[in-house]
Amino acid sequence: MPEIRIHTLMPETLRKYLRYTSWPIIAAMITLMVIGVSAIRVSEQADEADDEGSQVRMERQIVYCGLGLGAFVLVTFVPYHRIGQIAYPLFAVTLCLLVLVFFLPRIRNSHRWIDLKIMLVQPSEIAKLSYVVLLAWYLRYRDNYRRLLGLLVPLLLTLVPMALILKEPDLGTSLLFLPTLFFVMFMAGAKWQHMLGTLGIAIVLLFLPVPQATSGRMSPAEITDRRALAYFSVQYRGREYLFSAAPLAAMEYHQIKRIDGWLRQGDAEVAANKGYQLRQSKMILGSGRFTGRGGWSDAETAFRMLPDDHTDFIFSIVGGQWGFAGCAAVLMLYGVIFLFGVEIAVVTYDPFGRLLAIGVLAILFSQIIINVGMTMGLMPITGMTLPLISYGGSSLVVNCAALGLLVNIGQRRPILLGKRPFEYDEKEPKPPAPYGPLAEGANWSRWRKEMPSSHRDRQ
Amino acid sequence: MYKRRVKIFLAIVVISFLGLGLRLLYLQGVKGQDYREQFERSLQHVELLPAKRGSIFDRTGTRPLAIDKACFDFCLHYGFLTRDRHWIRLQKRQIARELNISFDEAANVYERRAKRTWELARRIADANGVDLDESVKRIIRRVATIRRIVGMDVREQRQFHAVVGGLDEKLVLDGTVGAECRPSRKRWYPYGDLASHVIGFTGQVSGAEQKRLNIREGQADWLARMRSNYLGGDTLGKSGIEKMCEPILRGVRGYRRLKRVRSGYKVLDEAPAVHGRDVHLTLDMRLQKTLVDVFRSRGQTGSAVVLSLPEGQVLALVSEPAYDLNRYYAEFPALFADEIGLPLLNRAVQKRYPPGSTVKPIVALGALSAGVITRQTELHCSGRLFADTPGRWRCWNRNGHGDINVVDALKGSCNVFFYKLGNMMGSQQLGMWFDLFGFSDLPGTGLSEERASLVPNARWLRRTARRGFRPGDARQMAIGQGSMEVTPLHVANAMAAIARGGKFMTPILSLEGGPKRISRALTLTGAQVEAVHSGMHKVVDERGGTAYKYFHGRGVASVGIPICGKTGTAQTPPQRVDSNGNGRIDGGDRIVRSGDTAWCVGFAPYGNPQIAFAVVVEYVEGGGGRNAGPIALELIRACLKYGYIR
Repeated sequence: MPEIRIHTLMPETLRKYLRYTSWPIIAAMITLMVIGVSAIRVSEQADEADDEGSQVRMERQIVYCGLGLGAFVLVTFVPYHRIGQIAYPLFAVTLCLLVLVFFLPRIRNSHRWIDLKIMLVQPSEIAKLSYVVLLAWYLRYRDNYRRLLGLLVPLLLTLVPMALILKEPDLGTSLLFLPTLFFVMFMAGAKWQHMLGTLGIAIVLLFLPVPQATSGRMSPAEITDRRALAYFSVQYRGREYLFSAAPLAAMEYHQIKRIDGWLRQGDAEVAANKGYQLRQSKMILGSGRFTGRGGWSDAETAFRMLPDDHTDFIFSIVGGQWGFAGCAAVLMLYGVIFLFGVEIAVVTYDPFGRLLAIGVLAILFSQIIINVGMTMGLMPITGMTLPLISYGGSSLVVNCAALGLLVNIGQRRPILLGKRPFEYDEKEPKPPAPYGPLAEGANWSRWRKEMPSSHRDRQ
Repeated sequence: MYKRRVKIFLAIVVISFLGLGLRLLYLQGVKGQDYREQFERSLQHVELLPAKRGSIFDRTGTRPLAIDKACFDFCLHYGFLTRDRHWIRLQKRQIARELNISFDEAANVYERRAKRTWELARRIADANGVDLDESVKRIIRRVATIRRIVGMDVREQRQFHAVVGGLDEKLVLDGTVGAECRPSRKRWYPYGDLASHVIGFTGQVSGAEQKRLNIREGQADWLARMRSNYLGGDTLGKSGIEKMCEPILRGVRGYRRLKRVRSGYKVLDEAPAVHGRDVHLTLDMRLQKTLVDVFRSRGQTGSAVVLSLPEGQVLALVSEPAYDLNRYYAEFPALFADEIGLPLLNRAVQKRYPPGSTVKPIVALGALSAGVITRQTELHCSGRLFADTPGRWRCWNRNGHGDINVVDALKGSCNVFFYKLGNMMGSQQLGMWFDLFGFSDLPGTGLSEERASLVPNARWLRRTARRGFRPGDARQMAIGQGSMEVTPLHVANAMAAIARGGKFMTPILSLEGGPKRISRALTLTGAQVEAVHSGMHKVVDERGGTAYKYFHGRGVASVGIPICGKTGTAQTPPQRVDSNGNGRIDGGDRIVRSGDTAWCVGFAPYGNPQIAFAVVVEYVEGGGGRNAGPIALELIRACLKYGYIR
């Protein structure tokens, strides 16, 4: 009876492939998906029976999970360098899609989606990933970004998709690009002075007082709210000029209201109106206490009072249903992804791989911080999904594909000889000491002893 | 270096996550209990059960003057009013399902229906004299108030709200969206324009009234506030008895606290509405109607007040012209614009007329009580007070009354006699007597429209004319001219006090809800009172009395009971409207009405008074007796007929 060993049945490539696969990331991903589906099930029960479309969300999300896993597997099979090679065309196609949405009919009053009849595709989600790939591919063999002017091209590459997405309008997704750029540039080794300088300028610009005349087109309520958020106002030639932070001056009134609702969330009056969504979110999140309400109770009907509970505010549902335990579990699962993701970024010597891994992590990180912060009142409310948990096909599939890329990098740990990329030292590195008898302070007798015999013979 | 930066990245991640975790601990641990309670509360919601407003009846208790009547309200859904996207999407879906068309087609259908609904709403609003935009704004304000009190989403956001109320028929609402016609109640006044000033009208509560009347947060729990506070769109009495007896009429809303459960709602606790109580007035609508008819048939405007004796209950309170309470809001612009007729003015308590000779009995009583004169004291009237001022201080009788005592001076309404009394008593003492008869206070029925009469005193003179009393002031006051102005109710009540022999009591208009009654006995002896009574009796029932002609003259059917009366013909400044538009009435403005104010006041029967009355006719020529006398006669006839004089 011949002994059958499993690994003998596997082709050598597959065995290698599976050996370097980062299983904890996959496990965390699948667990998060399960939590997401359960949370969507909870939120779905809250919605009214006559609100069509809400009752099929869980089924759809399960299908999206399947698609996401498919995308994940698909991405891991293709060597990631191949994906890098098509970074530019991929980005171009994405930009085309982002432009295309403007020619399609509006859905839910914005140009965010492409209606494929079976599902809505959100090009901005795809843009996130293709942008990271492009950025990593562009930066991989350069070091010009260690000068100030070299930062210009990456910034331009960022601003193009950002502007298009901002125009959709989708403020949340477009804002995601900036922290991603920041982290990738940081990891790629841009200079501290440049990074901090840029950050400083950004902060100054963010809070720069900009005059804005109150006009007759604004309603009295709008003028009152804008006045409340302004630093000061000036009367000049019979017109009132409000000096408020630059982004506030550019914002629409509904965004102003959100900002106001966020800044003054302690004010009961404001919380009941402008900050309503936030107040509900905090209430539902907080009501979960440590272990959640547990079980399926009639209390779920209260979630009805939280708009967007299945997408942007899914974390509140998690908190309400499973309490601190559930929330902490979710954050820890993300932590697992970050930990093993960073491991991949470290063991990979390939410059493209390193930047790509960091890019993927940065984009996940920004989404999580903004989304979770927003449900807890730490961040202003912007439309932003929670990766792997929120309802939505595009988001889920793209995030799975991103994790696929991450795992892919880990599977193909290239063995490089030579300097590890981006490991610049602060001081100018010394030229390597000549190896051999001419070296300073060389110990001839030791050299002789350690020298392989073949070398010795050649001498 | 890369590795160090990876470490920094990892550190940023860890620190951020720890931050989120801390915030989680704060929200779920520290404040978790609060949020849990808030959450439990948000599962409950409170349904308010409206309280029926009390009715108003006249003194018989069988004739309703104001009732809640069944009607229909034209309602629109809150989502429709606020153009709520979720609600609109739901409607579109529903249309798509009903008509079996695609969502986009349904959206078009929705737009068409919405347009039609707004048009219909505007048409109905215009037909009923309702400002649609104002009405919509009010509903949104109301729901906002409820939301503020409750502190969370409320059921009202998913309900229909009455935009135009009080429709008599149910509307057909085919091809509309978000509209409903539902049964409701409205205030109905069966007597229309009869006693409209007394009954008063109701209206939607205003923001200022809410602020003034509502219980503030912290003074009562939210359920109590919800039940008793005025929410936007609530009805409250705006004038007359509706306003005065608001706390009695209104009642308290009931509530039903429901908890959401999977299958619908579970009632946690409930309290029924406490309906408003009824209010009974002392008015007799038959008497009221008779008097109003007399005014109208004579084409005169003015006021009449009848008090029962000795109770001092108001039997009739007429103010002409009046308005129809049921059509108040529809006709408001015209009513408000009528600067000449002033139909909104409650003349019986709100308008101050110069009293003329009607004050003479009071002056006479004062003089008798003060010992300035006795019944026998005779003063000489030569037709004028001073020989050297022929044009001024004259008696209406050019030939003079000769030497007369107080009884005959009342009978003949001798001015010179009372000028002399005025000289003898002085302004201060006269003013004190008017005060004792209640002229300087509000009449005391409790109507918010009431005004005090104007009896000039030193302070008032200093303020308005920057001078002190002059001897002429006392003489003017003694014949009820000069700056003195009184309301008809004050005069009628003074007559009642005289009829009671000097017992002053504030009148009563409503058996419930009026202010505390004030009464005082004046220091008068029976003989003094009898002197004035007999003088007033002679005015009516003795040949030569100023009212004799109009009660016993040719062609007048006598009523057969002895009556005490007093006529008055008060010179009155003409009524002007602000024609030059400078915001005040002055000498440059156009005169719209002029003439004297005709009075006929008194009580009956002589010897055993059972009613006191005051009739005033505005802007007429020809004296008090001729204009007000016949109305007073009809008044007494009606009182006999309805048994108020037996």
